Amino acid sequence: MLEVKDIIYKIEDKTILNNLSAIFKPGELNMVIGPNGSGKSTLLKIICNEITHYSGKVLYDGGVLSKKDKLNIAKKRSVLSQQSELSFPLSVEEVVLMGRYPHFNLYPSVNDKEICLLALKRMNMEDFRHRNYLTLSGGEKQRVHFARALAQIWEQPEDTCRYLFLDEPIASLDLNYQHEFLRITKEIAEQNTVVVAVIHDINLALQYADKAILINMGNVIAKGSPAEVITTENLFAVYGLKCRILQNPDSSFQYFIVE
Amino acid sequence: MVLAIRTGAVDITYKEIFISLAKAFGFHPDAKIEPIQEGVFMQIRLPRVLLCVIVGAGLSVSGALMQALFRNPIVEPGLIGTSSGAAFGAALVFVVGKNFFGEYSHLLGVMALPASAFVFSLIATTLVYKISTSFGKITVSIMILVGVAINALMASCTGFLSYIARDPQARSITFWNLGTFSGADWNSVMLVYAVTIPSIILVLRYSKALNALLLGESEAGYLGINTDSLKTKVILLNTFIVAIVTSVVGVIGFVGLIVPHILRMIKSSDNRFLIIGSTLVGAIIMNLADMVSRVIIAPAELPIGIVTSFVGAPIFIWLLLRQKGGKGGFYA
Repeated sequence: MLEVKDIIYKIEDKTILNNLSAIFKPGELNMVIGPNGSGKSTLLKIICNEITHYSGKVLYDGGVLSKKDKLNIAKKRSVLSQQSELSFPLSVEEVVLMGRYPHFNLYPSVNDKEICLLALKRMNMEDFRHRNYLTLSGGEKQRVHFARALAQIWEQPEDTCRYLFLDEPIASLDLNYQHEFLRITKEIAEQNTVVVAVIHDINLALQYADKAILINMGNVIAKGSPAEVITTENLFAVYGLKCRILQNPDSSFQYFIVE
Repeated sequence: MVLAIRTGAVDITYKEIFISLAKAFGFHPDAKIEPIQEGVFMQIRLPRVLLCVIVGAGLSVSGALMQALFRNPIVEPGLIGTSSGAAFGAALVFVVGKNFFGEYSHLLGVMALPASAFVFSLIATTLVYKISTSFGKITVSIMILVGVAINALMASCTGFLSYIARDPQARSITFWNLGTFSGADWNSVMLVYAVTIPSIILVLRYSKALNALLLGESEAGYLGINTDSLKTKVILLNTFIVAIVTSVVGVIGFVGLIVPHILRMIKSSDNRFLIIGSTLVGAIIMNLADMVSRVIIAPAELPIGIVTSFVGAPIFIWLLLRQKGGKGGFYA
């Protein structure tokens, strides 16, 4: 379980996050939504210990991470960023193998290599494994990185759950892969994993999220089930748009349109 | 290598090489050989080739390290001030040291020269790295411009030293700036080997972490790597190699740039492969360049830095053009 408590983060006098608290449980797909500059990515960075000078607490399984835990947490937590700046020629296989780096010392085991292959298969990328990463399209690159993130936390740790954090992971994917991506993410969440995803597409949040948090200007506007959070009033308050939430007649999902 | 040993102002045959080696190791103490050939081989040619091997290896590994650290394939020790800083540090002790330390200078010189090279080289490299980095991201244009500025600063300091130095010293400094193997002797060979080989072995241990760093600093952190300590260690080891090499043979440019690049085109930029490969290919290329420098205006010889820069600079420009025009960066 992951808990953030009373997080306050300021840059000089500007408040980026204002007294934010939330609990993220394994088994649920959590989505963080909100406009640009609302503090979504900052929240993720604080959770990942990339930003350290904030007040409040981030608790993994009830404990605060210290610097020494960096390698240990990497064995059960992976983070997928919006974009990676890799600009060197590496084969797809080698990039995915990086996900196994926390698990081996100098040379990867047979098990590590098998996991990489399975992760690539999961992303439908196994035919690309000998390709030069730099020759791939933006969407293909993102799928390689997702495979890397999957490989990193492929095995269940004995004592605790896994953690997967995603920062706007689907921006560069086509429609088909956006849904594929979120289906996989949801599956992983169900396998004893805390998943927190920052996402822009409200309809995808309505369809896939188990829990949603709506943030604006560093404040939590609403949290709970997507249907509770994504309401016409909330969307108007945050985005200033008049919206209508509709029921999909063939399924339990709701969707929204801008009027 | 054997070819490099044979080539030069005095011809040496394979047989003579064999007999000289055998004598040196204690076999055939009374075998017949021309003393000139044996002398040239044991005292000049062999140490020179061995020095070439280790300098080529050291500079190439250093290039590979710097490219991983700066996450850019056009970085090399000559570009970011490491070499010019070392040259200035060495020249400083060389010129000022004698007046400063008086009659102890000979004793101190052995240690002070590389030590001073190390200090200035470290200052120059750190400056370039710090200035071009903001929020964990490196701005390439700033890095190159700062590199140019630091290089110019170091070169002008070295130039000032050679201006105030007496004539024979001034000539040596000029040679230093161009790089030369003509001063190779067994002492320098021992010194460079003693530093470079352990450093390369240590660096090999960080190759996995350096791979992860290619993804960016935060990503490497997510993979459980302590990036701050990694960067410090790599800069220190790298400066150590370059400073020692430069204090012995002077500034030799572009080898550190080109060797890792060749290896990437052949196979991959996995740093494990790159560091081991750079050691081998760097040694070979340096020997080839040294042979050219000895043969091209024989019986005189050219400083090797002239050869490597003459070949390396056009390749560097070609690389930049590819980066400018190519889609998705260099090796796509």
